[in-house]
Amino acid sequence: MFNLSNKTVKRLFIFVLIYLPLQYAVVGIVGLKSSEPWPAFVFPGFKSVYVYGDSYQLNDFVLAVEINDNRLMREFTPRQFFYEIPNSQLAGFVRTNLESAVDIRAFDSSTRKWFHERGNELLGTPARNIYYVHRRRHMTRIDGRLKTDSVKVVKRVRIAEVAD
Amino acid sequence: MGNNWFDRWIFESYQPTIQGLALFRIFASLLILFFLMPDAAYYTDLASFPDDFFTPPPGPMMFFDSFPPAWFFYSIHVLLALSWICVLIGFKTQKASIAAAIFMLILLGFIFSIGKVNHQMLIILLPLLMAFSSWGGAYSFDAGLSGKKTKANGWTLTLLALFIGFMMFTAGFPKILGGWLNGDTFATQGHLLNQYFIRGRTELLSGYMVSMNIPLIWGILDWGTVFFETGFLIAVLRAGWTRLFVCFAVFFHFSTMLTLNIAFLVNFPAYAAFLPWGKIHESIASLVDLNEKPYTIPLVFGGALFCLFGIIKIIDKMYLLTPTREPSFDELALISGAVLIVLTLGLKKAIGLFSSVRTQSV
Repeated sequence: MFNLSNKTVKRLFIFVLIYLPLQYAVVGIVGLKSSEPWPAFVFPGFKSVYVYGDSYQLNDFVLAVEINDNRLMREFTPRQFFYEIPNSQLAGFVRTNLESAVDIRAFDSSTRKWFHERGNELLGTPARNIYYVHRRRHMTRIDGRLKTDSVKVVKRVRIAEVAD
Repeated sequence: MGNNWFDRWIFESYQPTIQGLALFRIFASLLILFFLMPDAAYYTDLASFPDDFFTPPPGPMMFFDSFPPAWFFYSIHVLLALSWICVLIGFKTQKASIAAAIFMLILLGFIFSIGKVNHQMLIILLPLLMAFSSWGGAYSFDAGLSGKKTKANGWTLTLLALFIGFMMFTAGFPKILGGWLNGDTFATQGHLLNQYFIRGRTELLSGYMVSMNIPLIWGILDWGTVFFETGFLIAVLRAGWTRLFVCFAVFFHFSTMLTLNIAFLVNFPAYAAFLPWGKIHESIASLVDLNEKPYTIPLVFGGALFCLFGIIKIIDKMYLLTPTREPSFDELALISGAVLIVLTLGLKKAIGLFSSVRTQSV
C-alpha cells in the first residue's frame, strides 16, 4: 500500500485549508454568472425565503399541452411530464432548461419533436402547441388554513408548435 | 496556534484501529453497493434525451456536448460495482477505492449534466480519503497476501471531518445572508410549503407540519439549522465535537426526511466513519475465539449486514410498506436505524458519565 509521509500529509492539509475557501469563492462567483460549478465541495444553501409574516409565495411550474382536436389545454407538472427525471433534479432541470425564453427558442427540431411525442404519449391523442408556464402563487393563512388568494402568470413560453 | 497543535490535530484527533477500519470498510461497501449506486434504469433515459437537455455545470463536463450512449453508462456502472466489491473483500483495496471514487465522479458528472447538480461529493470523497487510511489492512485479501502489519492512518478521518465541516458551513453561511435569522421570515416553513404544494412531497409528517402555525417553532428551526450548519466547521477542531455534530446531522436528516420528505442517505457512509468502530470490533471479538478462526468476525459482521440490507432492499423493491417513492422504504429504514444507533450511543455515554460522576462523589 502506498503511504503518505507525515510531511506530505501536513502539506496536504495546508493545501486543503487554502483550497476549500478559494473554491467556495469561485463557486459563488461562477454561480452568480451562470450556474453552480461541479465538482465542488459545497452543500446546497437553500437561502431563499418565501414566508413573510402570514403571506406565502410559491413558484409553480407546469407544462400546458393543447389537445389537437378541440384546442383545450391540459396541464402537467414537471414530475408528470419529465417522469424519468428524479424529483431531486426536476426543479433545477426546469430552471436551467425552460426558464429562459431565449433558450427555449433555441431548441432544435429534434427537441421540439421530443416534446410533441411526450405530449402525445401523455394525452393519448395528438398534441398541438405545448407551453411552459411559470406562475407565482400567493397564499395566506386564514383561520389556521392556507388559502390561495392570487395566482400570477410570470412567464408563458411556447415550446413546441403546430402550424395552423 | 502553534505547529504542535496543528500536528496533534492532524495525527492524534482520531486513533482508529486497523480492525475497526476494516469493519467500517465492509459496512460502507455494502451500504453503497446495496443502496447508493446510481439508478441504472435511468441510463437509457438519459442517453435518449435530446442534446438540448445536456446542460452541464461549469466544469469538466463542458468538454462534452451530449449525453454518452447507454452502453457507456452501463460499462462505468459495472466498473464502479466491481471496484466496490474489491473494496468489500479487500482486494487491491487502495487502488479499488480510488477507482470507485473516479467512476462515481464520471457517472455523477453526466447525471448532473441534465441541468441540476445534486450535492453528493461525500460519496466520492469517502473512498478517495479512506484509500489512504489502511482500511484494507485487516480482514482482507491484501492483508492475507502480504502478511505485513499496517498502521491505521487517523489523519484521513480528520481530513474527512474538515471536508464535511466546511461543506456544512457552505450550506449555513448563505442562509445567514438570505435572511434566515430575521425574526419575521420563516424560511424553513417556506421551503416546507414549496416542497409540499409544488413538488408534491406530502408524505409522513409533512401535512401536519404544513398545518402547524407556531411562529416560535419555525423561528427556532431556522436558527437551529443555521447554528448546526455553520457550527460544524468549528466542531472539526476536536474529535468529540465532530462526533456530536455528526449525531446532530443524523437527527437533522431524519427531521428533513419526516417533514420535507428529503432523505439525504448519500451522506451517511461518511458520517458512519465516525462511529466507534474499534469498540464495535472489540465487542464482536469478545464473542469469538480469534485464534481459532480469525475470519469469523468479518464473515459474521458482513454476513449479518448483507442479510439485513438484502431484506430492506427486497421490501423496498416490493413496495410493501411505502407505496410512494419519496422517501423510499430503504431511506426510511436506514435513516431511522441511524437515529436508533445515535440514541443508543448517547444513552451509553450518558450512563458512563453518570456512573463516573457518582464514583467520584462517593
